[in-house]
Amino acid sequence: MTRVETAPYLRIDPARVEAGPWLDSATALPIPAFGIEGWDPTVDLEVERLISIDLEGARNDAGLDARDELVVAATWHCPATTMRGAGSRLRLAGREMEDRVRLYIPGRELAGRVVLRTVVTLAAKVQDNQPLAAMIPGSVLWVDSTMIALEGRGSRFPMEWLDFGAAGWLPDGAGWYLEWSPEHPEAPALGAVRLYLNEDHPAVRAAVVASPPEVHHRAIRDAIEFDVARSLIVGALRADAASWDEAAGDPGSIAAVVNRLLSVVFPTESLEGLRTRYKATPQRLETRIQDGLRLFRELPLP
Amino acid sequence: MKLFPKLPITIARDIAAQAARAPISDLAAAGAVEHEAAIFSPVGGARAHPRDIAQLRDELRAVAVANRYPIDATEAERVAFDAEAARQLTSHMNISASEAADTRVWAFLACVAVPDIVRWRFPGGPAGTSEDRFVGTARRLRNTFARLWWRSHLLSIEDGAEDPLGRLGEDELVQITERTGLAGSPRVATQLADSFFEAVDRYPRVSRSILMREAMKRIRRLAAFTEFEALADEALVTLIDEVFEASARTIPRARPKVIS
Repeated sequence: MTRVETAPYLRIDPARVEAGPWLDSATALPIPAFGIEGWDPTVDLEVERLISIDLEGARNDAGLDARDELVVAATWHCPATTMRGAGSRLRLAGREMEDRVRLYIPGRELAGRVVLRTVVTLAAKVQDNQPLAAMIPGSVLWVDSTMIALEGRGSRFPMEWLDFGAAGWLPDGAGWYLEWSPEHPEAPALGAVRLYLNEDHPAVRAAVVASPPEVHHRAIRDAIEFDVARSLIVGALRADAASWDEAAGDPGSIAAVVNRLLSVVFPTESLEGLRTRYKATPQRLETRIQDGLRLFRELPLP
Repeated sequence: MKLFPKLPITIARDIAAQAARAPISDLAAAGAVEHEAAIFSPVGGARAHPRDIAQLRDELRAVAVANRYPIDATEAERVAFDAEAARQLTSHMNISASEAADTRVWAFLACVAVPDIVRWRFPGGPAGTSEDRFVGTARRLRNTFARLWWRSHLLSIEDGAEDPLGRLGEDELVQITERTGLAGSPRVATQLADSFFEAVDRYPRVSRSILMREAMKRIRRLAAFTEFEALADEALVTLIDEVFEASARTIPRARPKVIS
């Protein structure tokens, strides 16, 4: 997918804008990046942040003059549901500005993660004397994006407890089952990858819920993590390369998420190189996944 | 909000493989409101009762029957079914976007509750109905019902306004509601539909499908560096109207038919 990285007009030097942390509007506490306590889709989000802008400098940077209208706005986007929306839209006037932008996001529109964006945009162009200045209303002159994981670190990978025996479609003695489809790399990772854990498997159940985990719990967790990673990596390397690479352009897709995993496990190798190696010696590459994940290496010896 | 049952994709694929070429009457007879492998989200609403699912099934079947089910439908009847079924899905299900983003919700509906309607709506060629129409893994929007729910959710209308769903063709709806990086904003989706209808009225000799494709190409180019959500209502209307206007002007008009 082709992506435009450079805007076809002058933008604002990022140093002209100072943005505070996103705060919970009710408590004034910072929103944690890895999970909001007690969040579920029935809970709406109300957040705000302080923004200060050197407007005179910003206009100079962007080739705009005082008659051109600028706004600072807060918007949001949820990769899993694809929903988008906006909150505050403040007109910018004078030489400097300091104000709060706010977002109200209905919880029912969200899943997994939400991206909070603050943008300074052109609202209306009055003067036409600088050919490199933005012309189109809505043109982004400055942007800041913050990704918030809604359901906490543990929930960033979709997991679900299931009684395998009662469910009837999985072997009742198995511990876990990863459901995903490498043939559909463009599917949203949060919706299309799921790890089912057998709630009727005492060792697996104890290992996953233990806090803090003991050595044997950690060994089982390592084994699950390795098996999941191996399944995702092998699936990625076997998949049709063209479809996979195209899908990876969407940051929420399975392909993008697995590519990030590949870059952690094999930090010095290209995807193309890994495909070639896998084709030549698949077992050897699978063994290297153990090494990359340091399987059982972090366990303290008795 | 309600929570609908979710069918694991592994199970859904097995059902889809068997249903792909099955007779519609057999699938209608096999339809059910429960499945032993189905699961529910632990939080986020109240579980739908089997009678809720039965009611939804009956409503969807009534809409299908009004459009010639179980006999092969015409293109116009399929469009009419899609528009009305979309309304029924959003009004009866009362689910969150969070639930609707889970493929398994739609796999349950398509594979367990009303597989007959999937088979009728997308009969397919000799290979039968595509697995995606039951399962929807490729993009959840390929599932027969997920795509309708999302369209209705994005193109929601205020009371008294004219519903765009029945006025847009399949390709036009795909352009407005399924483009990565653009879809997801009810405000922008509704404006795209409004500006499109106005341009179609102003330029009746311009092909609708070419107009929509050309305008959406321009909109996607703009979206790379424009924050549509940051625009005030009036500015959004003006910007999208201008894109459709500029697109319509560049497209060759069809010649009027000469009657000799």
